[in-house]
Amino acid sequence: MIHNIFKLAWRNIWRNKRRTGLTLLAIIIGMISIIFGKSYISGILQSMAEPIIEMQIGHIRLINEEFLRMERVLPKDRLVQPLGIIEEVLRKTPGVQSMTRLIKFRILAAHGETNEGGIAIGVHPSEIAGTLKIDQVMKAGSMFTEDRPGLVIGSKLAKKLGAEVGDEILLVTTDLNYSTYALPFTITGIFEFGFSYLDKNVVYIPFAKAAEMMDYRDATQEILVYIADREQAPETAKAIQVGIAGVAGPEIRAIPWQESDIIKTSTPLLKKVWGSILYLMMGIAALVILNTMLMTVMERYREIGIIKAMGFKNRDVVILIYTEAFYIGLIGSLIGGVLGAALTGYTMKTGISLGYSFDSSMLDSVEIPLTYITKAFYPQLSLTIVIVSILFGIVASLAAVIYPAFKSTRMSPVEAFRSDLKV
Amino acid sequence: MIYLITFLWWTAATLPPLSQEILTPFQILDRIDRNMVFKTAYSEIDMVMTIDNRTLSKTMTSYADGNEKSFIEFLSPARDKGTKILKTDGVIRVYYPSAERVMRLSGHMLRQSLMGSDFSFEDMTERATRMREEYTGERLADDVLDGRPCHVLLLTARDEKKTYYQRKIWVDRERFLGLQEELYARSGKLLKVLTVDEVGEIRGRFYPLRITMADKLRGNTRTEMIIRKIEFDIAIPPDTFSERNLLKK
Repeated sequence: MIHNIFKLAWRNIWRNKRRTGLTLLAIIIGMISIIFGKSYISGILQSMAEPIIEMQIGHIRLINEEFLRMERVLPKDRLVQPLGIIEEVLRKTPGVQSMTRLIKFRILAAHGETNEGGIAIGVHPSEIAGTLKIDQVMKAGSMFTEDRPGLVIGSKLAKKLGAEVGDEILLVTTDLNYSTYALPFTITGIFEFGFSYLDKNVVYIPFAKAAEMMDYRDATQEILVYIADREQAPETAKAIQVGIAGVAGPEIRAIPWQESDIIKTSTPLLKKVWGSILYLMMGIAALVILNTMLMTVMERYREIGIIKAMGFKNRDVVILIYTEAFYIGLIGSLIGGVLGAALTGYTMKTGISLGYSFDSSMLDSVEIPLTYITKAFYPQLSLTIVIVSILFGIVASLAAVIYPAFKSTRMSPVEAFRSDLKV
Repeated sequence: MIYLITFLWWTAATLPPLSQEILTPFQILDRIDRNMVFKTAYSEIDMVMTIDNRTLSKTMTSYADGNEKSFIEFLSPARDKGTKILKTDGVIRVYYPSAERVMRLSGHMLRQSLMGSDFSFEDMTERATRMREEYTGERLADDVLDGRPCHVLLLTARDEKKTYYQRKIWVDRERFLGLQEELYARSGKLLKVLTVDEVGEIRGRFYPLRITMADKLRGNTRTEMIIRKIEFDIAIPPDTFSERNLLKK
């Protein structure tokens, strides 16, 4: 009997192709929305966290605790030292793949008769090539190299100074001991990240020049450490902390990216916001599926009356309704799952551009010191997202027929003939 | 007759000085200018900066021609040695020996710290003669500062964008010398406090020999300017206030 019910259910769903097609369409659209939406949100979270981890905090950030506390004012004398010995310890720590030093300080930039305030970041160009990806945002010229020292400058700062590639810029700062020190630099490139904070304020200079300007000897402000598996950062950070215990002061801390304040404060908030949006999308998709399935079953009360008159018991009718719902839910969810995965897969390759209309001046007032955010982000698709979404589609389809299935058990065949479309 | 003389003496001695009643805020400022005025001056100055628990010293020499022109050269420490600052007609040019370049400072960049101190370049370029154009003044109740009776003036900027929107100045009533000044932002926030810690009498004029500026936005910092030597109305070489002199090694 059960086998016959399954066959009947399968035949039933294809009897009225228009009705089944509409129901499937609702489920497919719901599935695509959920899969793409979840991947889109994962992509946004990832694209916001990724540059912060790679460029700003590394997998492990070695920094003076006091510098971290006062980071907004960029204190000059809260340093990581002795640099040579600490770097030797890092090189010997298992898992450590690479490291880079950073120095950030306030500057006065002068070009001809014009001058502007800004922030200089001292970097090793070859060490940060893979993380900063500055070549991708270079508007003119190119990044300086170890052989060709110079300076790269944000497009808006360059415009304010009236400077172009090849021009000389004078940078002035007050050093570790509050002496004033200046150096001339030739502009090798003008970058445009598309975010005001960087484009309006920042210049990148060679690390050695930054150290000379700040009068740092065998010292830096921070070291970003990169390891093979960044999920292992807490364990490696502990090993580094133990390793430097004898050579550096207790104020020098190795902070894994998971414990970084930026990640700890921004990620949960973003997850909460985007999670709410995702639940809203899932709710809407569930309602669309529910509504369409409900209509599909309820317009068939007359038909239910006939099969009951033919001798179907209440149990058989309920099984029939649930089987039909399962078939439609399964087919719709599978098609929706495949289409949703395909669409997401395509945008994973092309990326979704935020466009120039999204300007980081909006972020100027944000407390999180974001120093680099990509202008395009890439949705993050996983098998889990697809499987969970397909299960969600099937469960929503089955949930939709609870009420009509219950109603059918309470209905006599005569009543069903009379009811027609009345519920 | 003797009673009349005694009465006049008593009246003169007990009534407040006439000047206190009639002087406007800008007349008081003019009197300060008159006390301070000199044709030329040469001074040797120590600049002592206290930042948190660190004390850093710089030494410099300064030539001045009235209020309009000045030339400062830093002698120590080593990293600052040879840095020269030229002020002419409100424009500042700085020569940095490490870069062998001259930078002209203008506009809002004048608010930058002067050689890492609590003073800004703008503090250096301000001219008393402009106060009348840029501020409106009112007199507040007189006060006593470190035992010295003072006029208290409140100047409010005509332009809301002025760095120091309000200035509260304590002026020594007897010597017509500013003893303390509080500088406020438009929001009412106290930005800086300038105090005169030591006054010297040079050729019949009262002159501040030790002043302290505390930039309240920088936190726990202050900068003392200590005048070790000062000479007035000396002959200054003709090209002292020139860009050529800035570049001279």
